[in-house]
Parts: sequence; C-alpha cells; structure tokens
Amino acid sequence: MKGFSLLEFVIAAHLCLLILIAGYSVLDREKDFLAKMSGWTRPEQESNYRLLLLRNLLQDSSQQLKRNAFLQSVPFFFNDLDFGKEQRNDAFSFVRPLSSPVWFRREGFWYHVPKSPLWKGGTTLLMAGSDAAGRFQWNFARVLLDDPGGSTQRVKLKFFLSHPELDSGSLLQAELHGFLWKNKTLYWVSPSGSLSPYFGSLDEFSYTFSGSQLMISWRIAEITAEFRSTL
Amino acid sequence: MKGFAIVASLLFLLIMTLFGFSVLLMASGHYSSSRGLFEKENARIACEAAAHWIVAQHNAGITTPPYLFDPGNWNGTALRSFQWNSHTISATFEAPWTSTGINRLTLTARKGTFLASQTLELRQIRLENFAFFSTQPQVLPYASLFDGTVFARSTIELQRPSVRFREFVYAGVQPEYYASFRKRTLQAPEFPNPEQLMPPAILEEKARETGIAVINRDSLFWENDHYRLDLDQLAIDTINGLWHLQYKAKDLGLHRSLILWFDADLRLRLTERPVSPLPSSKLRDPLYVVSLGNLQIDSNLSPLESASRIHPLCAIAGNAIHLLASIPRACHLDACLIAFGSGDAGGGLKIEAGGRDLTAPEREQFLFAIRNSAFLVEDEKKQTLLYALNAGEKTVWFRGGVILNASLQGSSDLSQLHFGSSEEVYSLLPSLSFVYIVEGSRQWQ
Repeated sequence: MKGFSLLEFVIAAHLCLLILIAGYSVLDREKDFLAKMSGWTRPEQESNYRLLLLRNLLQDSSQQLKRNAFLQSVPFFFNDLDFGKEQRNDAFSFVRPLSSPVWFRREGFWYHVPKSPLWKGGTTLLMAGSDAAGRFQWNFARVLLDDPGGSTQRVKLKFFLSHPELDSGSLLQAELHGFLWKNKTLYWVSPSGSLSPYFGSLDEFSYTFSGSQLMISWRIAEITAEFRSTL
Repeated sequence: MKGFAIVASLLFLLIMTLFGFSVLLMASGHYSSSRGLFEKENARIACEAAAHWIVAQHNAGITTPPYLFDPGNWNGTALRSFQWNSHTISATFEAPWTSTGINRLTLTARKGTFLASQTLELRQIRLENFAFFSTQPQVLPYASLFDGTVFARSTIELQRPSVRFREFVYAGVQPEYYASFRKRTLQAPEFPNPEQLMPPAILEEKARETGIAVINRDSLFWENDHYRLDLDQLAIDTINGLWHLQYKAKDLGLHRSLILWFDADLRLRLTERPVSPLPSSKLRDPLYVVSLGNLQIDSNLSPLESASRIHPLCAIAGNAIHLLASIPRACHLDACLIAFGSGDAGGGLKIEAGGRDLTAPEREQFLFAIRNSAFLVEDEKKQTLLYALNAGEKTVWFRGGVILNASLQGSSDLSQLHFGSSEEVYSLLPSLSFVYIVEGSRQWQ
C-alpha cells in the first residue's frame, strides 16, 4: 500500500500538534521552575555580595587611630547614630579615619594646626587631647573657617558634642558612617547624614560589638548570614 | 510511527538538557558567590599572615643577611614572590629601604582571580624607640609607666604592683601580676649590647674629625675635677651648611657634626625655659654630648633651640650617668641618655637622694608635659604623678629613653620613676637589624 489515508494524516497531524503543545508547555513550566529556583538562590548571592562590601568597609577601619596615644583612646564605634547617646539594636555608626594624626593647640577661638595638610571648610575632624583642667577629652568637629597664613594653619571649628573644650592634643580627618535597619531595609547613613537603601527585604537584623569585634547577622526568608569584622 | 517516537524522544532530550544546563548555571553562580566570599577571606588571611611571616623570618636571624636585607630576595624594590598556603605573595616597597624612616610596603596575596592587597609600614628598631634598654637584669621598686619599648636581658623584677607597659616588653617580667600590658610579644630578639652597636671609640673619632673634641682640661669647660657644659651658654648657628658653635661667647669654629666629646667626667646643666605655646615647625638636628667618663646631670633637660633649628639632646656617658641631688624634686629629662659602663666598671644610671624645689617655669613645664603625654590617657598614673608633684615627692621622668649596660639605681627618697621613648631620630645612633610593623599603618586596598 502506497501513501496514507486522510484519517492517518489527521491522526498524525494531531499527534504532531500534541507533541508541540506538550513540549511548549513543559518548556514553559521548566522556565517557571527555574525562575523559582533562581529566586531561592539569588537572595543568598546578593547577601554574600553585600556582606563582602560591608566587610571591606568595616575591616580594620579604625587602624589609623592606633598611631596616636590620644586618638587610640577615643571610642570608634557607637550603638546608635548619635555618638552612643541611646542604645539601639537596629542602628550603629563607626569612625573611619582618613588621614594621619597631627597636633593642635587652642588659642582663643582659633585652633592652630600644622601648615600641612590643609583643612578646608566642611572637613570633619576627630580630636583628642587635654582640656583646660588637664583631663582627657575627645570630640568631633567641622571646620568652619581656615586661615592658612602665618607659621601655622588656624581653623575655627564647630564641635558636634558638648564636651569641655579641648586645649591641645592630636586630630585627624575622619568620616562617620552608619547603618540603620528600618521597614525591612538596611540603610547606609553616609558621612553627610543622608540615608540610602543598602540591602532590601531583610526579615531580621542584629549586631553585637565587643572589644573591637563587630558581629552582624541578618536573615532573608530561610537564609541567615552572620559575619565578624575587626574594626 | 517511528518518526514520532524519534521527535518525541529528541524533544524530551532537549527539554532535559535545557533543564540540566540551567540548573548547572544556577548552581555554579551560587557556588561561585559563596566561594568568592571564602576565597576573599582566605586571601586576606594569607596577606596578613605573610606580612607577619616576613617580619618574623627577618627578626629570627635564621639567614645572614637577614631576610629583608638579603639582595637575593629582592628584584629592585620588589620582593621575589613566594607561595603561602596556596597563595602567591608578592610585595613591593614604595622606595628603597631606609634604616631611619618609614618603609611603605604593598603586599598582595593572589590565588587565581582572588586577591587581597594591603599597605603597611615597616621600620627598623632603633635605640631611641626604647623607653628602657638594659643589658642587665633590673629590679624596679616603683609603680612606673613605660611609654615605649622595654628590653632587659633576662628579667625585670617588679617590687610594686601597677607597673604599666604601653609598648612591647622584651624581658621576663616577674611577678607578672604586678604588671599590666597594652601589647604583648611572644618573640624576644637577641638585642646586642650598645657598645657593640656603637663602639665609643667611633664617637671620639667622629668628634675629632667632624665635631668638637674637648681634651686636656680645656679651661673654657674645666671646673675643679670635671668639665662643665652649661647648655644655656651654647649658641648654635648654621653657616654655609656647617654648624657654627659658640660657648660663653667664645667662637668654637665651624663643624660638620653637632657632637661635643669630652675626655673626662662632664656635668651638664640647662635652665628651664617658658613653655612655648605652639610646637615648633623648625627642622630638627640632634646635639650629641659625650663624656668619656661619668655624665652628671643637675637640671631638667629639653631640646635646645637655635635660630633655624631644634636640637634634641642625646647625652652619652662612657661610664655612668648620675642624676645629682641638685636636680628639681620633680625632674623630667627630655633627652636620650646612654651609659656604656658595664656593671663591673660601675656603669649604669644612679639617682642621688635629695632635690630642690621647682621654680614656676619648671612646674608649668612639668604640667604641660603631663598633658601632652601618655599620662593623659593613663588616669591612675596621672593622678599619682600629680599627687607626688603637689606633695613635693621626688619624681624622675625619663622622656627620651634610657639605654644602659648596667642597672638603674634609684635613691631612697625616690617616689616616682617613669620612662618614655624618644620621638626624635638620632641619626648618629645605629639602627638594630630587627624590624617591626608600625602600629596602625595597615590599610586594605
């Protein structure tokens, strides 16, 4: 028998269509399944990536303070975003020194510092030393005015904290960074004080600080990350 | 029907292959993210461990010359790379090695695509880094503060509690519960004796060739049975790159080095000056005062100031150093003190009993020094020191380091004894071959 009947052709065409539809359907389901699987693993990858970035920012961040006897006695980690005034479990801030320490001396409203480096207005300084009574004090300050004339550089400062006025000691340029967990999002508080989302959809966030060890842990769905940094 | 079976099988295979391939891609992405985290951390650990290994290898003195000074390990300013825990370690200095200053090193640990890099500063240990250096065992009956490295061959025997060490201690401290340490060290290099590092004959030769050698009881300096150097009467100036010195308005000529060498016992004196409100930005060139015999000090000591320079003091005795009874009751010596005399020859440092009341500038200077030193952050020590100052108790504070070949003997009336290292660089003093990582200098790249 040569060729095939109409019935055979119809059955064959249906079978072929069935295979195509079934194949497409399976591929579609497979795509959905893979997307779901990817959805399970992506948070962990994102968590690992954020963790690496954060660790780079935190690890050994206070090292420069150790160069000076006064500055190494200054707290460089705060359990809130306001120099440790209130203990918070959802926020912390820390100091990142940006220069080497230099001396300073007060004369009236002016502070004398070496000619170099040149401190421009708006620069944040971390200062530590002696007050008029000879007690140890520290403070953060912002440079308001600078006068590079003369044998030293003179700067006028606006202090962040109402500690007794510093008379002499050491200072360095520093910036303050912070992190705040709010509405399931971890925000980075930049040195200028602005909030930027850093890592979203965190179901839990906590940290502990002891000595110079900071341990951070967070949870996204079933994924828990926990890491330690030495500041 | 065979055709359909083949098409169906191929489609099934295609679907399974696509699925398998996608799962593989996803798994490898997930694995590499976790692996990246671990490998990055491993690279950091390797980088940090390698830095300590390099320093330990150098200081262990296994090879001659030591590791960092061996030209075989270097290619210009780059260290020959080596393997450390499956990581390739490479290191480069910013500039050729200097024995007196900072040597900035960039260290990289690499394993495949994973790398960690950090910069750190290395320095050679120098005598002026020591707050106290003695080649003999030392007994310490005071609750002292040591703000600088400490070395004593064999032991330091503490007889009172609350002795505070702020830097590394290369000595056995007994009993240890009398001491508190800010830093601990497990490695104790075998430091040579000071006279091996800097033979006294070299100082004499240097003074005769490029400085001033005072010999044969020179009447300008001689007084009864010893020389006397009143540092207030010494004027220093520079002319055409040479040092021009005058003493009691008498011209001492032009010299290449600021070294005054005396062939007998020498008494040293300096009047306290008013506190300068601002640190000087003048260049610093140390003045070396050397006595072949004993060196007697009967005042506070602090750096001299000339028109264009600050001159930190380094006072060296061929035999012993004596702090006379005429020193202020609260005495601070901002000078590097070195005594070559060994125990048998009666060397070391002796503090005589007694002392005079402080003048107003001396008291002001002492308080200023406390406020600008480590005492500010060591509150307990500061309070006891201030109490001793107000009560008129005898106090001696060495602020520029004490290097001895024998032990230090305090007087019966001595209440407080404190030590600090010098922040100056006395370039005439040789560097020891040992190196250390400058605290706080490590920075990740």
